[in-house]
Amino acid sequence: MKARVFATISLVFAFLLLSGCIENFPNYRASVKVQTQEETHDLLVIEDIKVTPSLVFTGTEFKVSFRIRHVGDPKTSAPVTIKELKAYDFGPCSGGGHVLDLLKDSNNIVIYPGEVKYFSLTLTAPERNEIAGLEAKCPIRIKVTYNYNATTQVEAYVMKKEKIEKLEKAGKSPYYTPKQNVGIGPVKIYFEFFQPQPFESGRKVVFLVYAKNLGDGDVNAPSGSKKLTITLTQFPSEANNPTCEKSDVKFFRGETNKIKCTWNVPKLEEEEKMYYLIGKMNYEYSVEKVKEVIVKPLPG
Amino acid sequence: MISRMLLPTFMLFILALSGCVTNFPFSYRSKVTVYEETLTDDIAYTFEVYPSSVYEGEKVKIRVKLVPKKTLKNVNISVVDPCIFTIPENRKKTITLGDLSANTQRIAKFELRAPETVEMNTKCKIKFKISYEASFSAISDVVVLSEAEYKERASSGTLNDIKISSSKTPSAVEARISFSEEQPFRDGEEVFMSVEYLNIGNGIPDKIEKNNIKINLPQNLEVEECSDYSGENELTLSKNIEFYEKKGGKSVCKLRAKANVPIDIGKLSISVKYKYEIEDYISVEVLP
Repeated sequence: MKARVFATISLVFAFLLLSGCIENFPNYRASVKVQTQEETHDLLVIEDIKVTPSLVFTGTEFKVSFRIRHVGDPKTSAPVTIKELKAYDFGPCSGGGHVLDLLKDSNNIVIYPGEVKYFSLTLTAPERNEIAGLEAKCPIRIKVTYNYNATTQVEAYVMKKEKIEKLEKAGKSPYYTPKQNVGIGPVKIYFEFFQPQPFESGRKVVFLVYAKNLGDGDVNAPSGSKKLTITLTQFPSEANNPTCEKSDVKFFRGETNKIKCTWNVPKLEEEEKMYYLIGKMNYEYSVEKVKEVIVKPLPG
Repeated sequence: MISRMLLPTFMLFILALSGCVTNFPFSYRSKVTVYEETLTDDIAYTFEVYPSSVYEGEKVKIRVKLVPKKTLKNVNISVVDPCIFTIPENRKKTITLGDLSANTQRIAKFELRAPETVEMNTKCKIKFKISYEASFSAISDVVVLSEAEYKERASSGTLNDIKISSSKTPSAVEARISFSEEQPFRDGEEVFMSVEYLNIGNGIPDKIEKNNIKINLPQNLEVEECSDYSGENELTLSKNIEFYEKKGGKSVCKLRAKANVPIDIGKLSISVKYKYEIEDYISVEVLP
């Protein structure tokens, strides 16, 4: 009898929850507003994939050319070193194997912000008999992989209790909306605070840190490392860096789990001080683009 | 004529391209930002920063031009928060300017150094505090009419013909005096005088010490009851004034008007000495 009552209540509760009737269900969200300024999401883009000649016939050679562009702002972003540049031929066309390493003959291609590099590969269309005299498609997949650092810098305004009281007494609001500067790159780190700023000097501040993949590619751990980690520092004077429950994160549907971190706010000698908290993550990023080459059969 | 102009234009173009002309107009690095002058009731100040954006490890020079509107004493300007910048050891964090007369210009110069490394573009607010001592004074006529004079003017409709003049110094801290009755007063009339202290500036006043406030009552007003002040003609405050949300409290005194002649015009004056602080900032960008 008790089990039936319990099951009915649970069912009603679950129904209410799913229907959206319970809006204020406790969740793990910070409520303090942070003003966010974001830099460009993309970094390297594969563009302008062209096939020459434009009509490809059976048994002939053709060229696939494309360009990779660093879309970052030359003033603010860093050069990118291409770690891997491969073309995958999954159709009947051949070019000396199904995976073509386009960096085979040149090491460390560095692309500076605003720079464009051109690449090309030569492939051979299948013979007429290989495609039974019918029109065929060769999907050519181009994949570029590079390492990059995600960086986000957020303001952490610290004030002595006496100064907060002095401002409030004078009818001036000491409250401050911190600015979060999210750096260039497809992976972005975000801070979420529970307490409003200014933080009181000498107190403890709890906040959340997480990352999002806003680009079109895939994020992986950097080479030589098995995990993706977010490291936090205080700036200036790095002796008092924030500490987190854990530092490794995993992406799920374009977003990582939120890490709970603590910052022991420095004890100030002066009345107030602007600090910055910096989150960094080194990652490997792969962007892909596919071009379908149509092969037309020559009359037999 | 056109061919004469061509040669110098061409040479200037070549020079600019060669890099010899480093301070070419609109060059990104030689930007001087002059911030809008800030006007307060006591002082006008202008921040000038050169350059407004610096690279890691570079210096930034800040000039603060101060023009007081009235005499200010013990004027100091200090860096409250240098943000991520540091002040070199041979440079001062606080500059003491001493006493400044009205409309005299003084310049305080600061030099700060950007950190050796920054992770990303950082727009930093360098915060300053200007502190000084100043005084506020106000004077107003107090008119008391004899009973006969009052009645005569009331019947002829000339009560308001007597001009009541008043003046005050522009000031961030003000003392406002008002009466319960309209002037002119009549001989023997009971009048309540209220004195209110206000912070009308954007800064923060320190508490006003009781001996820094003086009210001089004219001979045609007599004190009957005044709990916050002591004295007969020269009223002295019996407690310090503290400001809460721009207001420093209100005191009320019960006075009796006395006409020694048919039209008795006296002078009521108040003087307040106060300490004041103004905080402001300028933004400087540090580029990696």
